Amino acid sequence: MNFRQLCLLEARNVNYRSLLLSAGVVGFLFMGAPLLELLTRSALPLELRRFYLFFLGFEVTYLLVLTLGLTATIREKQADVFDRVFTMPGPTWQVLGAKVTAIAAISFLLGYGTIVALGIDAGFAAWLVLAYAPVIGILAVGLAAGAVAAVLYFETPRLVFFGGIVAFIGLNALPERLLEWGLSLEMAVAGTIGLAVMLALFGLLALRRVPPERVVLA
Amino acid sequence: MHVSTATATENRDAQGEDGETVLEATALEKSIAGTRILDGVELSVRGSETYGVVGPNGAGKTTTFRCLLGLLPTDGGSVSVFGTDPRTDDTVLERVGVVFEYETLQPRWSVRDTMAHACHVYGVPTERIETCLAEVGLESDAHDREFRDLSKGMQRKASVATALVHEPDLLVLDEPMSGLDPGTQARMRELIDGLREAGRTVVFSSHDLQHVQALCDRVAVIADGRTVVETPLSKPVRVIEESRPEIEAEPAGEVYVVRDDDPPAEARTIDLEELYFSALGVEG
Repeated sequence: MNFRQLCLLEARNVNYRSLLLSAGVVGFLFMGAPLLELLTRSALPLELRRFYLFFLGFEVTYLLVLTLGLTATIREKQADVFDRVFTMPGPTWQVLGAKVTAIAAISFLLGYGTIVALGIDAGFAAWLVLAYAPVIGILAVGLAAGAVAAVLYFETPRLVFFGGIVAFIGLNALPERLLEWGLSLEMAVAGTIGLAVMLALFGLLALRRVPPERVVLA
Repeated sequence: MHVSTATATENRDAQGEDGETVLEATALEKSIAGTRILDGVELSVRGSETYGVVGPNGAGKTTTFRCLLGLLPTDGGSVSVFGTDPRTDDTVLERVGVVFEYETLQPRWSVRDTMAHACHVYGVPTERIETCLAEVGLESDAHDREFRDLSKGMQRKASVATALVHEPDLLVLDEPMSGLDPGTQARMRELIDGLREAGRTVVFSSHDLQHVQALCDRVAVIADGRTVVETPLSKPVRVIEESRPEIEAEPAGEVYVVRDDDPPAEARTIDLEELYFSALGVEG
């Protein structure tokens, strides 16, 4: 069994019905919300539309990791799967690597797909759309690791899910706020990239530090 | 259910000399949420033996196993698996197979997929899958079914088969008979017996004293987080009168003793039920 097969196996644990939840949250928040409206406003400067588009991909990836990652991991935690994982030799994050990769890959494809789909319509340069790929990829991997770690760490992982949704509401308002605060577009993009890298580092570090007793006694 | 005995010698070589201590808990202490769960557990499991851990509900058997496997840090005492503390060096877990009282396999994976995953983690060829499935006697129509769709008995067999995939020197089974029908229990007994024949070290906990009596070389009785008795189940006892053999009891430590100046001893099987209730200080 190679790593790709392991990832495909892990993808089976994903609760795809939770995608409906993501769609519902996105629909609810974007209904009358500024982001999509601003994005589709043709009168907006191209740079601003690029930024909104980038942020939209960021948000969709975040939401997908949150719903897919948390629901899959909560389900496995309830099935006591991790008790066995912690009796396996080697670092736990390596055993969980395929799980994180599977969640990240699905979220990346859909999140980045949003940028590509809307970006093609908006006539953005291909290189720019491509340039966003590593950022969304880093975000997806880091958040997936963080989501798995959070479920393992907290006794009531549903609270993590709730917290993640609340954070998403805040995230949704962020691009406008950044610009209102007088940040240049370059700075706003850099800030978003910085946020993605920070979340990724936090997630990967968190996954390395999950104490088994937190999981076993939950 | 069949376990090959052809590799018994090889297995014994892998485990070191028979009788060498492979798993040891010394004065183990553990509190969880302010409650003392373990308060002086002592276990010493030797190579190639089948070792039973018995005790009432809440005695601390599962917590002891979790400490031994490095899943829980201890508050006092020490743990040694093949001479190593698994919390400081988890590579020792390569030599250990574990089956929990509750099922821990991926619910949405087939048995074969779960075992292939285990083969990947332990770095063993996937040919082991068929061997282990045959060993536990899991019905062939269950091999490609999702774990959650299997009966309790099939799930337990799949769990044991997965634990055997890397040919562990030590197999730790927490309540392996729990919740199984008599037929599956009998097959599980056969399997454990076969593992013993093959020279593997098996440690298991159970509430069923008959199973422990039938399968184990030695046993520990745990109560209120302490080891009350640790003794072989068949050991030499002093014959006081030829016509009426008796067993001498000693209040502290091991219940049955033989002194150097005693008359020649003879092997006697200890009645575990009697030992259990006397150790717990309750009427059987």
